[in-house]
Amino acid sequence: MELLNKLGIHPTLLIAQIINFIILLLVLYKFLYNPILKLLKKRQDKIVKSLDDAKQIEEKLKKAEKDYDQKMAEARKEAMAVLSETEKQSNKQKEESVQKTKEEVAEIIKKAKEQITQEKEKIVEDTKKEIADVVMLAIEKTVGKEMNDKIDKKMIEKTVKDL
Amino acid sequence: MGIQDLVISIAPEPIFHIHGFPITNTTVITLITSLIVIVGSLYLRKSFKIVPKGLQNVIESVLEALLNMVDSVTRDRKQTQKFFPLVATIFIFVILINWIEVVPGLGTIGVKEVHHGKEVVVPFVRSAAADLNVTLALAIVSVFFTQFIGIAFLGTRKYLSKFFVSPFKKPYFIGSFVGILEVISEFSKVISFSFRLFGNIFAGEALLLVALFLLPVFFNILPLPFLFLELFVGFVQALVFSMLTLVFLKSATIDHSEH
Repeated sequence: MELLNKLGIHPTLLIAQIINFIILLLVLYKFLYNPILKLLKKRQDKIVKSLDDAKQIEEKLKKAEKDYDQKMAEARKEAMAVLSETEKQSNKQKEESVQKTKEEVAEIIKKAKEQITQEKEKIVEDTKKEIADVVMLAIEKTVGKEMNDKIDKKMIEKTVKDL
Repeated sequence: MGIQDLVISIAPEPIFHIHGFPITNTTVITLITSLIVIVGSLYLRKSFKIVPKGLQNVIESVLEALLNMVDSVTRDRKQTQKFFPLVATIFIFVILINWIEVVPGLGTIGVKEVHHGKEVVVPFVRSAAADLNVTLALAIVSVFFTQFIGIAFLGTRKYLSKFFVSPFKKPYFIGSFVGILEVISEFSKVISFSFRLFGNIFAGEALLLVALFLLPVFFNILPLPFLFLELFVGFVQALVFSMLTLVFLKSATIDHSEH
C-alpha cells in the first residue's frame, strides 16, 4: 500500500479513470465508429457498384461502336452497289442511244441514197429523151425530111436507151 | 523561477478535494479530453455524409487506418468488428492525452502550494499518461476485455483450460506449470502496459521541464527538438498500447489445445 501511495495510485481515482474510459468507449462506439464504419461500407458498396456500372456502360459503348461500324460498312457496300448499278444502267442507256442514233443516221443515209439514185435515174431518162429528140432533129436535118413520127421516134428512143 | 524550484513528482498533484476525493490535474485533463472527444463526435455525427468533406476526411482516414491495422492482425472481419472499438478508443485516447503535454505554456498555469516548506506552482495541466491511475485503468480495461473476448470466442471451459491444466495429463507437471505461467503473464500484462506508457510519458514530461530551465528564457530553443520527440513518442506509445491490446485479443481467441 505504501508503494502504491508513493506511485500516486489512488483506488477512487483509478475507478474514476476506468469509468471515464468505458464511457468514452461506449460513446465513441455508438456515435463515431458505428456511423463511420457504416458509411465506409456504404461508400465501398457504392464504388463497387459504380465501377461495375462503368464497366457495363463501356461494354455497351464498345458494342454500339462495333454495330455502328458494321452498319456503316454495310451501308457503304450498298451505296457502292447502287452506284455501280446506276453506272451500268447509264452506260447501257448511252450505248443504246448511240446505237439508235447510228441506226437513224444509217436510215437517213439510205433514204438519201435512194432518192439520189431515183433522181439520177430520172435525170438519165430525161437526158435520154432529150438526146433522142436531138438525134431525131439532127437526123431530120441531115436527111432533110420529116420522119414518120411515131415509128422513128420509137426506134430512136430504143436505140438511145440501149446505148 | 529557477531550476532549484523545479519539482518533479511521480504522483499527480491534487488541485482540490471534494469530500476527501482528490481532484488531481490529470483527472481534470482526462475529463477535458474525454469531453472534447465526446462532444466532438456528437456534433460531427450529424454532418457525416456519403461524400466526405473537411474534418470528416481526417476522421475517416484515421479510423480507416486503424481498421486496416486491426484487419491485418485478425484477418477476419467479424473479429475486427468486435476488437475495433476498444483498439481505436485506446489509440485515440492515449494519443490525445499524450499530445496535450506539448501544448506550450500549459504546464505553467496552476495553483500555488507549499511543498516541503517551499512555495511551488502545481500546474493544472499534467500529461494524463504521466499518472499511473490513468495507465493502470487503461491496462485493466484492456486485460479484462481480453479475458472476456477469450471466453466469448472459446467458451469458459476451453479458455480456462489454458490456465488450469491437470497435472495428471500428458505433459504432467510441466503443463500445470505452464498454466501457472500463463496466469502470471496475464497479471504482468497489466503491469507492463501501465508502466510502459507511464514511464515514457513521465520521462518526456520531466525532460521537457528540465530542458525549459536549462537556458535563459529568451535563448531557449532547447525544448524544441524535445517537443518533436515527444510528439513522436506520444504517437508511438499510443500505437504500441493499441497494437499490443490487439495482439493479446487475437491470441486470446486462438485455441491452444488444438496444437
